[in-house]
Amino acid sequence: MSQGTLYANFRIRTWVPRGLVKALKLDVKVVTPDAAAEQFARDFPLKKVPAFVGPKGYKLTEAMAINYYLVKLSQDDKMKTQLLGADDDLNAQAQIIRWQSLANSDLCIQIANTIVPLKGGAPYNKKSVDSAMDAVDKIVDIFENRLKNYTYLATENISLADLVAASIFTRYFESLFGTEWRAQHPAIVRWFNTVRASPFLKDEYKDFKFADKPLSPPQKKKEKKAPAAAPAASKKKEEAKPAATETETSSKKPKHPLELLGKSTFVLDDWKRKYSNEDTRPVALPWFWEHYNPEEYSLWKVTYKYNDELTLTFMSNNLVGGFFNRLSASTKYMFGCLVVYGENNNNGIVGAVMVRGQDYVPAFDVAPDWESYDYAKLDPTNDDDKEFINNMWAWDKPVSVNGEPKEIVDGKVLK
Amino acid sequence: MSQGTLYINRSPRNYASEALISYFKLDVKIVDLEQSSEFASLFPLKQAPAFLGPKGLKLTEALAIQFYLANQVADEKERARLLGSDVIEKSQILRWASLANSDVMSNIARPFLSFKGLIPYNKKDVDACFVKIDNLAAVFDARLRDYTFVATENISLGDLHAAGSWAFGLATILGPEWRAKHPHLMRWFNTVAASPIVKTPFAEVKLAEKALTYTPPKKQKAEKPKAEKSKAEKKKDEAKPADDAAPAKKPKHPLEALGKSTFVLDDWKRKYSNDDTRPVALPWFWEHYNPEEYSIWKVGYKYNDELTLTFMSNNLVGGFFNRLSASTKYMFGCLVVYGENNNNGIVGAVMVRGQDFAPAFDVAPDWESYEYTKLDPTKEEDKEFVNNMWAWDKPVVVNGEDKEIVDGKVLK
Repeated sequence: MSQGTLYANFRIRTWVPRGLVKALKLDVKVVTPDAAAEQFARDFPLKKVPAFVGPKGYKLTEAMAINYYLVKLSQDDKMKTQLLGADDDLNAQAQIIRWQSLANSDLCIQIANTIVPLKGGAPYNKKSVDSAMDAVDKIVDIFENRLKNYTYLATENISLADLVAASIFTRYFESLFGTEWRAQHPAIVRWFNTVRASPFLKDEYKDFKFADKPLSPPQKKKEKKAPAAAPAASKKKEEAKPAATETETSSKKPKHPLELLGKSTFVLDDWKRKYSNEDTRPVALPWFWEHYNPEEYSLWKVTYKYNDELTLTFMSNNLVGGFFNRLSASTKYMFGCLVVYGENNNNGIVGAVMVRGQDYVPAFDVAPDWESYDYAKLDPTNDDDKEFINNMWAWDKPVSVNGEPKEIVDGKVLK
Repeated sequence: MSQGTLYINRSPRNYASEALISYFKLDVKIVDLEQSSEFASLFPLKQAPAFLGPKGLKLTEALAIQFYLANQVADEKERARLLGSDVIEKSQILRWASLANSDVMSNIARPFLSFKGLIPYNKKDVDACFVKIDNLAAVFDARLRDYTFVATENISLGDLHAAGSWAFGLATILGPEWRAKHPHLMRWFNTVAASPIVKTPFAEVKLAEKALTYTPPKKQKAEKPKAEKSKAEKKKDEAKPADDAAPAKKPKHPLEALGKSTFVLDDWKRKYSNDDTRPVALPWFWEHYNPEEYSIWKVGYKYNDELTLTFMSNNLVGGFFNRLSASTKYMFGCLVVYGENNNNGIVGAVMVRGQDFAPAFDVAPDWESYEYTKLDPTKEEDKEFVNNMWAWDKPVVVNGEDKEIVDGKVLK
């Protein structure tokens, strides 16, 4: 008479009960849940494996309970003692439950938190996976500490503790514990190899292979659109140019008038980089006054003519931004700042701008609204003018208007 | 001689072990692991419960410790009741304890921890946990409908441990509504909770009057106290100097002198931006356009032979439009790049206020790099050119040859 039916499949928790049935030669049928789907769902609503149906409608779930029951079915007293611990050895029995439980819950749960996301079966979250890996490492240390000094986990021979724990470690060895990891954990590897070669589990490991490298995180598919190699078509220049008279008529694009002044010894781009990257007053300004060449560039005080019409300071600042935008054709020949001083409904715009050459008009007249500003030449040998320039470019001191200091609230840099 | 030390925390997994020690008066010390200095070195995983027995016996895992402690009970009859008297009973006790220890505990813990803000809240996860809790409750209900206890005819370790796991949920996330749907489970729970065995650990367990739920974090309202700046009166210089006439107002754009137009340029710009160009926007344009107020110009770049990469040509157009910003109130149009790399050109159609292109374009210093040809909107050919330049959906015809539009910019 049959002693029952075991529902088992590929799930790791079903390996030990199936192994027990075989090794102990129990008269138990082993069935996959799919083969008897209706019956299985009716008897076991949670649909978890392993599951066991015994005589007289006896039903059992939970791997540890089923393992215990199956071993007890055996007639081999010696085997029962080995697997469950001797009846008079309470310590052994308790330790077997302990290691089974640790592997069956903590270690097994972390498979879902590490291997499954790495394989793409669940959303990958680096932080979550890393903390799960840390938890696995701690559990591994517990096993390593025991197995360093003992052959088996709970007793002096293979017990249920070893069978259950080794089967769950299988998932780690085939996916995460690569060659390098195994070299660092010789005790666990020795124990694992010993247990998997035992008659209880050796059939389950027929197709088993150690991982060479741990799984790496799933790559987000960057769709690299292969840039269609544009064939460098040769320029089609019209060989036959029209008559000389027409040639002169259609001249090249006009140069900026300040281009005619040629290259300067004072390199404006160097100054712009200096100003952008260094602390203004202690580093950049001393550098400027050391390198500035008044024969090549002139300095101008630029003042808005209609301060009484300004309202909100941010709108005044936007006005400056627009002006600088329209000066874009001359930015190669200019550097400076315009600042907004004062407060809402009582503010003004003033600044200092350096331009190539000795005249401000060629640089500023590219902007249609250049005439909304006053331009006064500054003398770099005059300390007052020099300090004015420093203040306009450093923004760290108030503006003096009719002898009254006004705080700088905002500004723009033309560079 | 002491039989050992049990280390506990506030987890329900400690309840059954604690109950056994208290009720059966086992000679075991119970220590709060937070108070212990040697706990961490004895039990590196720092999990509770943990048991230190005689001769260096160390046990972790609630099921193992309960098993060990139950075997310490002197009364043989009581031991058999707790542990089961035969294989079938022992298996069932282990089954129910294990189910509660793993599935019930973890599916209650995850919603609880996320409601408390200790782990990130994920509605999908939480809902899945509640489904599992209901499935587990159904399994318990199925047994408890016909039996008083889960595994045997009397209170066993299975009941003690399972009741401890459910207590955690019933005290937090499983409120009165949930409890009303599970009368069998609740009867069983109340029976076990009333047992003298669990009096000690269950003393502080109170069923939740209202289920704990998720509370979204309050968005920190940046209530920056708006300093009520007293509007200082405008300081206008009352006494203006005699040469008041000298500082003239800012100069107006020459096209401003033409006054307001019946054709509202802003309406057209919005139309062009929001509607499908060829089927909707262009018909609208030709219906509303007033040639007496605005003229349309073909704008061609003079130095196409110098252009190299098409994106650089497009950048050139972008820069030009940038420098035209002073006149954008009076203009609308597109310049497109046609052809391919190292063989491309720039052409476009631009509408301007008035009948002359110069007042609008000469605000940009490089306006003379382009040729300007007036287009006649009454001529089909010119009209279609405008349509193509603004729709970008057909190639440009250059010397009778089709050139695809590869990019462009809109001036608006």
